[in-house]
Amino acid sequence: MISKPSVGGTLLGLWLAVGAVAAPATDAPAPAAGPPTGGRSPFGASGALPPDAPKPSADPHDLRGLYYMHMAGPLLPGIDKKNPPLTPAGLAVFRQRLANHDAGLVPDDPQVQCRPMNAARMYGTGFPQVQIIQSANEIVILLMEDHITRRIALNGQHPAHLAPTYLGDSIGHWEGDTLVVDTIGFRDDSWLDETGTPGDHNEHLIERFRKVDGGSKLEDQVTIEDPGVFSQPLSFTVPFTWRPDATWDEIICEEGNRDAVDGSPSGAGAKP
Amino acid sequence: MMPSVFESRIGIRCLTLLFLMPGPAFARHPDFTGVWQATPKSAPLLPTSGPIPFDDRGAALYNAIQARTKVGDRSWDTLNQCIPPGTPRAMAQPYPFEIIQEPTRVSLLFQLQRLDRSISLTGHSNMSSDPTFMGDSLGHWEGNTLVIESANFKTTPDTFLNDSGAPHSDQLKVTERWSSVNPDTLKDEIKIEDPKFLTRPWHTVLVLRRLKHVAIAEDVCVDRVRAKH
Repeated sequence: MISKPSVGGTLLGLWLAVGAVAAPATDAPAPAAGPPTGGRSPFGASGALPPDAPKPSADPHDLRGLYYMHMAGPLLPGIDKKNPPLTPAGLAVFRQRLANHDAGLVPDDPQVQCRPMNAARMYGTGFPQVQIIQSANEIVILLMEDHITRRIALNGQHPAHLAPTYLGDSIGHWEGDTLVVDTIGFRDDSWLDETGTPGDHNEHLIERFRKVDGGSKLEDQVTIEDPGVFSQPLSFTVPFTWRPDATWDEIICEEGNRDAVDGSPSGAGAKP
Repeated sequence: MMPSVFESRIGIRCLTLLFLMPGPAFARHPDFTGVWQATPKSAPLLPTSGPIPFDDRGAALYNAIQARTKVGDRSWDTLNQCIPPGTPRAMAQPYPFEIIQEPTRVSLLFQLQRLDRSISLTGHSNMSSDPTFMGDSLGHWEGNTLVIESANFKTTPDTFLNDSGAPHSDQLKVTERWSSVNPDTLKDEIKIEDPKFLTRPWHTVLVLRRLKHVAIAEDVCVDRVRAKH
């Protein structure tokens, strides 16, 4: 079983890989394949692929498979705790969350309460394993952490009236060999990373995925706009590595946090 | 009339050719990709005939669960604590789920708690060796039937086989045979084996109905369960 932060546990846990590259999003070199490991490794693969490992499809529009995402860490790239690019309103929420953490209050972090993460927060997930599943009309990004399932409807439109959700509403289309994913419809109480970078209903996540090195890597250029929270758009690039040999584990937040389910107090006064 | 040796050879060659042609050979399998839901909406998952053949240990556990249910106590049901209901019970819940069928993998993506289950068709699974709620599934095609064998499950009292609370042990093996009755109806013939709790295997059938124009919603189990309290 893989451990993960429990309710009331440490907020800033151990981060296993640091590889995301802050803007400008250009041809930054990707980190070596496989995350660094220490102690018992939750990963079934590191270093070079075995010679008999399946090869990625040669089709640039076929992203199916299992990857390691090189995660950002407990703060999104470009967010500096002391001087974050946030509006006064965004800064107030961010500082309150930091103060709550410093005061030892149980945070109202949705993920710690076993709720889904904000879609942008996948770039700070604690586990790098990601599956991309694909049908004719849809691409699904499935994270190992908390089995976060991001459904991307291909060639569709956002619904006219969106009920806000944690993961938002994602649509995608191909621009040449780049999959462009557009996500809106987020909640006002969003945490974009584990530290508490805020997001609200104006959050707009744009991701541009393309295969590089014959599919042995994916390059993902991420832009987050949120005029109520960010003083300027946030951009960074996240590399993914083709790892068909990665081990997949089942991570069930509620299993270790049954008191989060039955309505136990969750740190009254710790909002936002 | 028996075919001649010559006719048989032609038949075998044609069959071989069919298997060697990846496009057409794959295309003849039914395509289960889509959104599905059990019918009836909460499928009971009980044996097609007779009672569940529990041994003494399994019967004692099942009787205790049923006695609690009889007096209105369903606190045994970990589904109410957002614990995954496992395989096959997750498919029998009154929520839609998605199947995406690829040549080497069939993915089940549930609305319920965003659960997922991956069925590898390569003979090799990426699942870790730790037991899981949803199990480790390997599938293969037998003609037009997808045969799926799942094992390495977590056990009762964390999971149950059905809404009645039928228990299972770590020796549970679930064998499913998925076939297409018609493009909108999937029949899942299920065999349950569990030498620790059963005197013999038992069988049940789960019928899935294809849902059209239904989007999978975001399910926040914690909030759904709290709202019921």
